This record gives sequence, C-alpha cells and structure tokens, in this order.
Amino acid sequence: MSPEIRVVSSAAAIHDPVDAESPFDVSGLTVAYNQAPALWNIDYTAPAGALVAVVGPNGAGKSTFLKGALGLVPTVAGRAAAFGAPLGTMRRRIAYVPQRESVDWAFPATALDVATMGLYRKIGWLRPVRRRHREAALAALAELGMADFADRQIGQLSGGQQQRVFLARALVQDADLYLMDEPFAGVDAATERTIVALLRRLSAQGKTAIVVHHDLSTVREYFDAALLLNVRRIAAGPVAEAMTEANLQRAYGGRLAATQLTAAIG
Amino acid sequence: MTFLQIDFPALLVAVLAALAAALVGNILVLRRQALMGDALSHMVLPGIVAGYLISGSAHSWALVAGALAAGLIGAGLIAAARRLGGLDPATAMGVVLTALFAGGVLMLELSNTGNVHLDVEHALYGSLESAIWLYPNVWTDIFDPAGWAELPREAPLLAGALLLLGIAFLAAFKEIALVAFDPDYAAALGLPGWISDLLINAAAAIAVVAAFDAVGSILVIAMLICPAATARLLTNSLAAQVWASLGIAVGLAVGGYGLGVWAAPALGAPAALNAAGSMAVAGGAALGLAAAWRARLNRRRGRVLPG
Repeated sequence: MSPEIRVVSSAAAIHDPVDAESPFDVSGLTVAYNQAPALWNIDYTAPAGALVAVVGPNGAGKSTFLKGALGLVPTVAGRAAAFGAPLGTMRRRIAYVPQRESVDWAFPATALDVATMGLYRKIGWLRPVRRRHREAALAALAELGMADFADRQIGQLSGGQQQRVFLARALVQDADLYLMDEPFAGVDAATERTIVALLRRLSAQGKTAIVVHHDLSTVREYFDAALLLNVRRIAAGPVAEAMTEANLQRAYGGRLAATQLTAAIG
Repeated sequence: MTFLQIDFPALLVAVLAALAAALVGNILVLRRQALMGDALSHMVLPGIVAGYLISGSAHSWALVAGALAAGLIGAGLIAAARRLGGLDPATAMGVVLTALFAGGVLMLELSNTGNVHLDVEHALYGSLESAIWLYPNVWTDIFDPAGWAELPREAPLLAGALLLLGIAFLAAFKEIALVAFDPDYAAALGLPGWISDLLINAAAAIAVVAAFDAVGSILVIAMLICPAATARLLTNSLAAQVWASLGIAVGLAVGGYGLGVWAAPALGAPAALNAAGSMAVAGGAALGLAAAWRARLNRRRGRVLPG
C-alpha cells in the first residue's frame, strides 16, 4: 500500500462523525487483498428499518463490504458503526449470514445444531446449551419451514434448505441488524419466497437488513434501498433513485445486456 | 519380568498418548489442519535443545518444558503468519515448521551437543519399549499409590495432559464446534479467529509434546489423525465422532501393541516389532477400512463422501 492511500482514507474516516440514528454506518472503508484494492473508501449510512440490497458485478467487493464492516477481513482504513457505536461493541445486536459456500456442509452437525449456534453469544462462552435454547432454535427452524428437518445432518439438505438453516441461525439471535451475504444464491423458488417473507417480517418489526444480492430483476420488488458497488461506491439511496440506467452502466462497466437493464430499472 | 512390569506400563503410556492425541485430532481433522501435528513435532526441537542446554541432562523435565514452550511459540507464530502475513494455513505451517526445526539443528551444532542426545530413532519411534514399571507384582499393586512414584515419567505427564485437554474439551465443546464449522460466523459473534487459532494450536502442542517423548513423532502424527479421521467416516454427529475416536485410539494402541509385540514373533518374525510402528500401521489400516465401508455405504445410498 502506498502511504497516500492510508492518509487520504483515514482522514475521511476521522472527519466523518458517526450517525447515531443509523443502525449501520460505514465510512472510508478500504480493503486490499495482496496490494490490489478490493474496496475503496466506501461511505454508506443505512436508513433505520430499511431492506438494503448491495448490488454490483462479480469482484465488486460486495461480500468484502460486509466482511470488512464486521472485521472479518483486515481493513486498510475506515470504520464501521452500528447504532451509533463502534460495530465491534454491538455484536449482540447484529446477525451475520455468511455465503452458503463458505462452510463445509459435510460437517458432523444437524440443522438444529447449526441453528442453535445463533444463541451461543446469548448463552455465554463456555456455558452449556440448555433445553430451552434448543427449543428456541427449533422454533426458528419452524418459522422457516424446517422443523421436520431439524435432526437431519446438514449435508443431507438441499441448497435451499441449507440456506434456511443459516437464516434460522440468524433469526434466533433476535438481532436488530442483519448482514446477509447472497442468501438468494442457488435457492429454489419456495425458499426464495420464504426469504422474502422473512425480510418483510423483519422490516415490519423495525429491523434493518443489508443484503448482498445478485439478481438485478428482483431488487425493485424485494428491497427499499440499494447500494451500488464496484470497488468504489457508485450510487446509494432508495431503489428508484439508485438503480438508474446510468448508475447501473457505471457499476457494471457497460456489460449489462439491454434485457437485464430493463428488468433492473423496471 | 512379567506382563505387569513390561507390557502394562508400555500399554498404559500408549493408551494415554493415543487418547490425548485423538481428542485434539478431532479438532484438527474438522479444521482441515491434519498436518499440524507433523509441524508441531518438528517445531519442538529448538525447545528440546534449549532444555538440554539449560539442565545439562537428556532426561529432564526441562526438555519437556522447553518442547512445550517451543510448541506454543510455534503455534503462535503460525497463527500470526496467517493473520498478519495473510498466508494460507499450509504455507504458514510450512514456513514456521522448517524455520524452527532448522533453528533447532543450528542450536545443536553451535552448542556442540550434536553427538550427545537426540538420536533419530528415539525421535521417530519413541521409547515405549523402555517404559518399565518395576513396582507391581500382582494386579492390585497397580492401584497402590506407593508405587505410582516409580511409574515411567511419561505416564503422569500424559495423564496430566489428558486431564487438562479433557476438561478444556468438555468446557469449550460448543465453541470448538462453532469455530471448526464456521469461523467467520464465530468472529461475527465476537469470538475472533486468532483466539481460537491460538487455543487450538496450544492444545495440539500440549498433546504432541506430552506424547512425543513416549511414542515418537510417527505415532504422534498417526494418533492425532487416524482415530479422528476414522471416526469422522463412521459417524454423523460431533459428539459421536469424538467418543468413537477415543474408542478407536484405545483399540489401536492395544491392538497395535499386541500385533507388534505378541503376534509378530508368534507368526515367525525374528523379534518383536517396534510397538509404535505397528500401532501407526494399525491406524492406517483402520482408516482404510472405514473409508472402504463409507464408500460402499455411499454407493448404496447414492451419496458422495464427506469432505
């Protein structure tokens, strides 16, 4: 990293005060993998209670945006805040849903075992899981239509069912901010409808969800707001304002077919 | 000399070493860090040399303490290379293990102790055969505390390590499952990767160092991996896998000893085979059998092997 990179973006972070109202407020977030910037000086403040789609081409840094904010990858500069405090101090109120491909589904665990992990922080480190915890996890699985599969080894579930297990694990956390990485990727139509219903329910309860999303044609239908990324921030705001033809062409570098563009703008 | 004085202490040490290694091996297998044991058994060399130089004896607790310190430092360095240097786990392990092992060799040369201790054979095969307990004459003597002081040094060391690891494993069972399955999610919940890396590597270092002196590096590596990997193929829940690995570890220690020390001479071998070697071979055979069984089961059910 050249010295200028650090100076410019950390200066941006220092001068930008934390938005105390926002559940999720990132400023100057810069992440580099092997010297190449994956994410460059991103500022974003999510409106409370909004369903936000994070949109952009492959390699735009969408997943890195969530991971950098959560501190899962080293950041060059920038800071992330949640509910007006540094994000690291607010983990109790945040639920993260990683990409389904990021784990080994042959792992010896049942759907209920995985869903129960959502309560580990609430249970406390080194404290045992009680029956009431497993019952709460089972209720979350049931809410996602997975009650009958609770005792299945997770490798024996379909992709959509695995995604529901991940969502149940996040749901049982009873968080106020949900950060989801591609929850719609590779799921069946029924699971997609279940996820949309879940998002709407969370939003109705005043909770906020930041969702990495790859299907441009459904952004308008599923989400309130959008953040367009391509290493840099391209645009952000209510879906209709952010997802304009010009912004999409800038984000995707003119690689979008006319049909995709029409579907995205609606 | 009787069974109680020769075979029993060797079996006791082998079983304790196998249990301690198998327990930790479960975590390493699930985290795909199976070669961590190999790395650790090399990284302890500078610590052993340092312990020898300080104590002036080749048979001292200082060597064990030095080995443990080197193992923990090496584990810390691997974790640091991964986190700070951004190296992938295998590269981090390879860099640290060769650097520390080479450092140990240099220390040996510089201090002119190169011809004194550390015969290669001992390091590879261990010294199970020299584990002798003269005290017991009848079975009930085993439970007589007066005789425990005469136990081979490895036995109380391994028992202590096993007890410590067992308690830690029970206390942190849910955290172990969490970081082994989904380290990113664990970090998002507030359990950072560097802490779990460090604790798991420290546990592995304790098991390796405690077992290394008694059974040598080959059996340490075999006992870390074979029982856990075999149990992994036979079970579908973590608790079942851990219990199965412990049972398999005892079976391999006893079965391997019987194979090498009793069966081989009876079948016409010129002498008893090295016990650690035959246990390691038994471990490989058990893993092969489990893999074949699993492959057959999966073919019948039309599913793929677990990862």
